[in-house]
Amino acid sequence: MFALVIDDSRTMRRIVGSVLSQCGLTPVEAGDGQEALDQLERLTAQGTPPVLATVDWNMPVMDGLTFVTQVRNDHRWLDLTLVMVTTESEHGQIVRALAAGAHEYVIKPFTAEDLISKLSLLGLVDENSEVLA
Amino acid sequence: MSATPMPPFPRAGELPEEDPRAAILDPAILEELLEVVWSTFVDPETPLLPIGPEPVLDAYAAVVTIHGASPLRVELAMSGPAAWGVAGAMMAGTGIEVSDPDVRDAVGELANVLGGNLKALLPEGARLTLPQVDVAASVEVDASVVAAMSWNGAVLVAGLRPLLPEEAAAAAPPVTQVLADVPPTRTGELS
Repeated sequence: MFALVIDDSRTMRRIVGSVLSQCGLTPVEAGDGQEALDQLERLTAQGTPPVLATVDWNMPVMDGLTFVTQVRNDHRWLDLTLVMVTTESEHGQIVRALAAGAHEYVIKPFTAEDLISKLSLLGLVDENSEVLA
Repeated sequence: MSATPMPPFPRAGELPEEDPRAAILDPAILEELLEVVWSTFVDPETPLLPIGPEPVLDAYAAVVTIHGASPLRVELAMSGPAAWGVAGAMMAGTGIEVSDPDVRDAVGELANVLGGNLKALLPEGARLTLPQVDVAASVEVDASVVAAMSWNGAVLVAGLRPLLPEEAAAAAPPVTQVLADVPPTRTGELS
């Protein structure tokens, strides 16, 4: 199963992707929200839509909040789990992201355990940190 | 870039108490945040050791600006060995051979996370820029508050500087403003 990792930092994409790989997911990287929408279209067209997207907030071209809003406005992606992974930690920002349709929120810096714990809460991985089919 | 010299900026303790930046212009806060970011993303085993301020040689230097009612400049500079070590540590386990763009990206992302955590200590509504990373033979962090640290003998220096309104206006714009300036994206083609 595929997971979109959306962050303008290649370092962060690789850190998040590495954690998701450990859980049995196949990460697909995007450097901004627009590139992520393109990847989402591509994966959906080939019949393998991702089950998860981790979304940074501050990115060039299209920010993470806009991406979340656009995804939630498209019925094809109602099942896509959205997790914000960002430095934006103010209460108001968290509320905005959740109101726009994000399911969970991870604040940088985070450990692998922090991220896996959120995925477990969302029912994406089991107690052995392995992805649930 | 303006050739006009900027007015002197306040040092720690020189801001009025009611200025929200006064409370975070504290080397202890900067060191603590740096250590949290470091131990989480870079090296949980080797603590950062405080050292005296010194120029950072063969430096990778990243800057982020916090815009809003209380603008701040956040700078993180590290020596070449520290920067390459950081990128290697952050990408450990990915199987990727680290290159110079990876090093720039890693240093920029650390500055971004440091800036984001500092922004969280300011009143809501502040906005962060994307990090700008430069390489220089020698960098002296010009700031009101400086945390100089050693990591395995390699030097890194973080600095905080409150910005005057005219300095903030001359700095890189926040991400939201950049996005507002960008022509409409291809989003419409996807629906």
